[in-house]
Amino acid sequence: MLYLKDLTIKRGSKIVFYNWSTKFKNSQITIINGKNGAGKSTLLRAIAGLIPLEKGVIKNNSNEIFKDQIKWGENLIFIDSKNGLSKDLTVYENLKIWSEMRGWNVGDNDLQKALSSVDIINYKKVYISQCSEGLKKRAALSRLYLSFLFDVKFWLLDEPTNELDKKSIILFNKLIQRFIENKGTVLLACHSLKLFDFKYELLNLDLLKK
Amino acid sequence: MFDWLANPNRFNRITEKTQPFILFISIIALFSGLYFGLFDSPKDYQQGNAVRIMYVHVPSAWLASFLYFSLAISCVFYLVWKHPLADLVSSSIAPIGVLFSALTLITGSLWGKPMWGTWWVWDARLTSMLVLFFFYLGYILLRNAFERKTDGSKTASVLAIVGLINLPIVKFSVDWWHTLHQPASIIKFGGPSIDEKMLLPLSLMFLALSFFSLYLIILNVKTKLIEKKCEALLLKSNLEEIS
Amino acid sequence: MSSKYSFYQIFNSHIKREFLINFRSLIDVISIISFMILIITLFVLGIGPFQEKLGLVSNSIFWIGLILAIIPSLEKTLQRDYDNGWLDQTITSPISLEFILLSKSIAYWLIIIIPLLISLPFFIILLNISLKLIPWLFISILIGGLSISLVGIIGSALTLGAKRGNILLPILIIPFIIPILIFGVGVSETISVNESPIGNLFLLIGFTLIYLVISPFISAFLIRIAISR
Repeated sequence: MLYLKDLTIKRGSKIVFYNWSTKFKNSQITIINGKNGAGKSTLLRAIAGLIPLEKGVIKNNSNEIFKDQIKWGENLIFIDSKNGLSKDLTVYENLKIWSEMRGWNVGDNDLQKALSSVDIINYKKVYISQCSEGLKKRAALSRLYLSFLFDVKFWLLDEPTNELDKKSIILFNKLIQRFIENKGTVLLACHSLKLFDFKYELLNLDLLKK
Repeated sequence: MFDWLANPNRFNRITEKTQPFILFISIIALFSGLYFGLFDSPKDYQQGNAVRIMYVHVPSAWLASFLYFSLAISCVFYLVWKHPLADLVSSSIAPIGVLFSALTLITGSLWGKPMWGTWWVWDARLTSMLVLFFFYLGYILLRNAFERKTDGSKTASVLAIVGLINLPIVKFSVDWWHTLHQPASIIKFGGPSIDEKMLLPLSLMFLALSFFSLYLIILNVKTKLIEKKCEALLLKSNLEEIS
Repeated sequence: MSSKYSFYQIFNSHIKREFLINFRSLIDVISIISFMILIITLFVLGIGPFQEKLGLVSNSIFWIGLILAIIPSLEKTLQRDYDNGWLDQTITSPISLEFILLSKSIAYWLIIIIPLLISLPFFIILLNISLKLIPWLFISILIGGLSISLVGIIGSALTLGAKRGNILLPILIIPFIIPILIFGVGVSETISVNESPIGNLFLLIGFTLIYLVISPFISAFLIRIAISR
């Protein structure tokens, strides 16, 4: 369980969440829904540790996650609309360096498999600057596959399906299903709920604020 | 103590009472300092009456350095204890720091003309003051370089603190540079041979200028507090209009 | 950080990344070198072709040229990674941001220093720098380059997301670089007058060590501020 207790989160001088508590079950996908500006990204970024909490704690079971940022970093993959890809590197290099940067030692074989998992293996030598938005997103999502090899238990995904075509969405669904079977937890911010063909919890931020 | 003062209402109340005194002291000190400086202190045997520029130049230089120090300390308060008033204080100090470092440079230049026959000499102290001027300027520019007003204050505070670490290094390196390239033969500003009679107007002027800058800083902080209040009111009325 | 991570590997991955990005082709290296040679040409054209005049200022021209050539590339070092989300990825990784920034500064150092060292012979010929200076010039560039990159990372972190960052950055960074210039030129100057350069060199090393310790922490702090905006 991921417990969020009495969270107050500010963005600039604007208070986005005020004294707000909730929890997310393990081995489950929670879709965070809400209109633009409802705070979907802010919430995900705060859980990822990118935005400091003004007040409150976030606990993974009984451990406060920001007490041990490094452990939390091991546990987590965060992907948002920025993707985190260098345009001067190829798809393959991006994935390889990303995994090395995390201290992972991934063999060439596994990297290939990761790229195949989102069907981007044919583009592995293409520079990101030449990729379409959809390809970039898939290149970013290929990282998710690596969490099956290492001890990653949380995916924080901000609008991952925006640029994906139908075929990629099916592949993405497969990845999520496999992750949940492996006791993974997914928090996913998204506008549309139609794209997913599995059981999910829904957190609607609009309802929260009346 | 800072925490106690950091309440805006209390700050307003206290400064309400003290501000006239501060101005009063500053004016008294200014006039007596000017009197002693202009009429009742000896001429320098080398520089003649030009030495009297010192009574503005040296206190401004002290004050410019001291204000930078207070600016950085106030930035530490802001970053560590996150009190918005500390940020207002440092942002209020900055323009006054610019003023005094500019005054130091200008008076230094005026002093340089009769002494060395040029408007500008790359004297070690003047050079350090020029760098200090750019530190102040950098702080102000960085503060205003972000889309939202609040974004710049933290970043600029870090700059001010790193500047505080770096300033002594710069000062040392400039002195080092000076001895490296020019064996000391130039008369230094306010060198060691200060007449006792010069000391009185010097300290009076220092008193005057520092109280005057204190007065300005308080005025500045107050203006900013009112500005903030206005913004909050405006925001509130806008929100009400929407709903 | 737990011991299961190989620091070397992580360090290496950052260096590899910066090299791949910056030195994808020989053109990149050539363009940096040409830029420096052109800056020096400008200086010489401004001064006039007199050998004695040039001899007096060649050391300073060399260092100023070096600093001017580095500054334009500073802004991009972090801004690019900020814009494309790479910094978000590093913060949400198990590796501490401070260590990552240290690796990044060293990677950046290598990137600015390698073209410089390649082009050192050109500069020596162009500026008529005496041969006995070469080993000292080599050492002082190595150390000075590291300190410029450490200070530069701070500057780059300060202007993350700022308006007119490309103009603001030099204004902020040049006052910080002054000591590097003074000590760096000092090394060459003292040798030219047959004195020991050790004093200046130690000061340069001392300056670098101070920033080696504080720079990763300050820039990490600044990056966290910028990311949370």
